[in-house]
Amino acid sequence: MKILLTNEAGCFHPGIVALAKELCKDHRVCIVAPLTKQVGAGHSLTVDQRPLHAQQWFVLDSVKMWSVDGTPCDCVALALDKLLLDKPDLIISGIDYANNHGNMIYTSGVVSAAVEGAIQGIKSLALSAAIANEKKERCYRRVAKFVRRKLTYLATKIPDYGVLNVNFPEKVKPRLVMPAPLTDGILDNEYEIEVNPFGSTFAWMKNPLREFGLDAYDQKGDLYWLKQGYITLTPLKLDLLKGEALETLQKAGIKL
Amino acid sequence: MNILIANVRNLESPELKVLAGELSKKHTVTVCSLEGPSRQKGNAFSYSGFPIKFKQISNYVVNGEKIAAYKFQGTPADMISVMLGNIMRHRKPHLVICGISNGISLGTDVFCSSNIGMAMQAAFSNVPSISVGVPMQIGGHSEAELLPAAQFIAKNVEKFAKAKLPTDTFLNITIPAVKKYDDFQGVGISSMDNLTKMTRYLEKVDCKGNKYYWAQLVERDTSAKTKASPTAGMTYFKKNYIIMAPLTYNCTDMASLAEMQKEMAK
Repeated sequence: MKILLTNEAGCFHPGIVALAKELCKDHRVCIVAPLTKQVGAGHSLTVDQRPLHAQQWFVLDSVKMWSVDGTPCDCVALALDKLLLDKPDLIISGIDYANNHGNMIYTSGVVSAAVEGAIQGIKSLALSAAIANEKKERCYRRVAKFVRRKLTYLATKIPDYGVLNVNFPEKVKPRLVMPAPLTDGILDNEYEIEVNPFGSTFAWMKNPLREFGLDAYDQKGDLYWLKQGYITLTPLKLDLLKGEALETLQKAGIKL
Repeated sequence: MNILIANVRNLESPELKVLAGELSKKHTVTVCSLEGPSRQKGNAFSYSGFPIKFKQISNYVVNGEKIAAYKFQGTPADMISVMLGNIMRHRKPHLVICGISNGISLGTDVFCSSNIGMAMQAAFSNVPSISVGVPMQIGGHSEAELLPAAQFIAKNVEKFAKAKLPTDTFLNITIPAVKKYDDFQGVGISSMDNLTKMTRYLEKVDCKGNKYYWAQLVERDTSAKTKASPTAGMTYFKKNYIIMAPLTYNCTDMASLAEMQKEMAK
């Protein structure tokens, strides 16, 4: 299989390197990833501010590698349009060092890169693992080995014109796998206001981890199963239309 | 009603001025905007490590009256998050209006649209929100061109706030460019059209011989891939109908999930 790897933590992050080293044993792998860390990049694209530059690196044998000075979605779009000679069969985004569950998938560059791949018509996987020490290569290797072993299974579970979001708990037990929906939680971000010596006002986020309320754990969504130590598989679709709300909207009586 | 209007262009943009002008006649309006254009930012978010700079503008006047105004440096989602999480924490708006944006979001454009990103961020905080867009015009629209759209929003603003849509839902309203209000033909509720924009790149070489790439957005019809039946949305939009689509942030593919769960149970 021809596989394109990308992530949000940067092209030299141990997560993507571990995955590339493992997958290149049986597949044709290339990496197109951001040059710098792009945490919280979401689905942002660099369009009218500046052009993008791509640089090729020769770090890993048998793995072609490019860095792009943009966001994860820029990487996927540029790779598919210009950098790769032929289209990949699969795009894998990750391994991210924190879980992307519930509403957090929208701010995550890793899931968004997979979504961009799906928009462009390529089957895409997003991988995120709860890794306490971001630099620990051993943890990524364990996840990468699991992915290599189960790649055919995971690839078949990607919905048509959609993405499969895979989250790994802190301790990966290959037998504990659970398909789970996204957790729906109300995010209540709080900010602390600070005035700097020049008189400018800044807002600092108080709860950067964006933890959900306790009721989020009762839903038996991805967050619940992750806490139970399961690897969660969540199929995502690209059509955001809420069919059930069409009738409610009709009743609202909005007219000219 | 207490309304928050958010815009990604700037506080002086006609898109914001005309909407604030129409709404402030009857309602309490607060406006916020980013400094400089911020296109295709989606739901990007500044996590800890980077604070978000903002400033309250004390002399922002609309219809001869001062209204509360804030300008931000950050992403569109940051702005809504700070507005709802701090500045308006104890007097939450009844409705957040994102727009009017110079450009519409169809199909999968909703993932990268800044305007949709803001409306979605408000929905995350359980505040009713709508995203309003008019077809893109390079250089932007004049206030007169935007007036019919603003009038439509002002006329229905209470209905938007009280529509009782599910909590995970927000509205994407696409308004055609018309010269006067009477040119609107009607209001339609339709699914997202399968016409979407794809990112393609223009390759160039700089004076040192290095390649660089400019992004361009190309329209594509994805109906073949989505296997969805073509919707009437775009057809009616071209006939000057206003199109509304209720969107959700809960994008779990329930059909595929049920299949996987069944398989797992075996």
